[in-house]
Amino acid sequence: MSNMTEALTQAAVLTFEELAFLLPDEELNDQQKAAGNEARVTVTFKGSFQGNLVVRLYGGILPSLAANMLGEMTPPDERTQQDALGELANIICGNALPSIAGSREVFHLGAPHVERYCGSPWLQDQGSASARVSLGLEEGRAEVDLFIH
Amino acid sequence: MLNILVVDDSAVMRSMVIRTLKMSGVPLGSIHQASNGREGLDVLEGNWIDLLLVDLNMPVMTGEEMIDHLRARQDTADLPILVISTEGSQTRIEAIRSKGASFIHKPFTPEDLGNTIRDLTGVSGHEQHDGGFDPSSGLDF
Amino acid sequence: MKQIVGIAEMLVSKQAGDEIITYALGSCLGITAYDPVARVGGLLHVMLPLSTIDPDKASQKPYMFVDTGLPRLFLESYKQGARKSRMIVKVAGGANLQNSANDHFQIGKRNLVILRKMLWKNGVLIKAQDVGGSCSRTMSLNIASGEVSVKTNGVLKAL
Repeated sequence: MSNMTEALTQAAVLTFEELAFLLPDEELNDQQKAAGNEARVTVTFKGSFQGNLVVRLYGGILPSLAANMLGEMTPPDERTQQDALGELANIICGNALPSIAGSREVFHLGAPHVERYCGSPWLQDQGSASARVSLGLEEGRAEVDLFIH
Repeated sequence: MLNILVVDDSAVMRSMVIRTLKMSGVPLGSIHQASNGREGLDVLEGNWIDLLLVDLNMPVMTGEEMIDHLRARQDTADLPILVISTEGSQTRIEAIRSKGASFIHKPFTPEDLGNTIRDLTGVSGHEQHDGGFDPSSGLDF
Repeated sequence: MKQIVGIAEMLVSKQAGDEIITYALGSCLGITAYDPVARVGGLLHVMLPLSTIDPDKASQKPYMFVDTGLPRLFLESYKQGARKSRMIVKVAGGANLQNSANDHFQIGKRNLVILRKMLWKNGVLIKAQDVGGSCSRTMSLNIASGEVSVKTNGVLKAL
């Protein structure tokens, strides 16, 4: 595993565990692999290098993720779910960058942009990811991509 | 009783912080919320606040800019401030600390945040949710 | 009287003379809950985070899993006079005995995530903990005083 992928894995696992109380699986099972598109969030960053972090969720896991964060038994409304996903991506990004660039570097993060999957394919992200992490989460999965431009 | 202002552009994060406050045993007065530094300053104009919990990266006015405004004013120069942020740059964290603010990193465990708030406010008690916490929203034991 | 809690077992008591103890906590968690007013407390020794991996096992041995054991620790304490708002929860164990620092998917850590999730949803914070590392621990709860101690490598400390 490259240092960048290692840093991204560490940040993503920590955030899913501590913020959303979910248990990420390293190996995906068949159900997790087949899970359908759910939502995507993009966070842009600028600093000693610039780019964006994309988190894609599959398999209908956002409602329980948001409910976990809030400590509720039932999922919150759509807007709150999107807010939860945005905050999650922000925190993964904020934790991954210092591990990659060094702890003295300063980065500025943009506001997260959340998109719900509505049937039409997502636009492809430009270029190939510098690091990618796939994690099983309950019946679905998360893909975390780091793009450095 | 402490009046607390929570400033974060994520409503979910504000809810998480407020839930932790209620669980931590700190005696709570009014809890105010704002979604950026500018709104936070407006709340401070009309309300007495004992403790400010503030994020850094926010639209309109960042947490750091808000802290600069507060430190420049006589009545808020010594206001206890806890920054709750995903910021990982030591350069920026040191800049925040030099302004007399404490820092806790996101993601935090509820225990870490609860302990930090208790340390800041000097409250050591552990009567868990007798401070108005309503467990009915999530009661399964 | 010394009462021993085995792996995947639980004991709740209000007998002032009882000292509840559990041994060999590696990646397992020892969880104590104690009401200092009612002087009721219990100790639970769980092995794994979620019962969903083996529901049959969970129905036979609910104390094996965090998600089926923890509610029983609270509910049994209530039966003996404890109140939720007074419960003091402490935890020990959750070690990574494989000693591979880069393993992000350790069982001890996962046990703690599910414990925290259930407590968070129920409005309870952990009062004290001695978790992680790569050591084996012994945990005990004194029912008369509520004192919890943890012994690691022969060294005893209050939690």
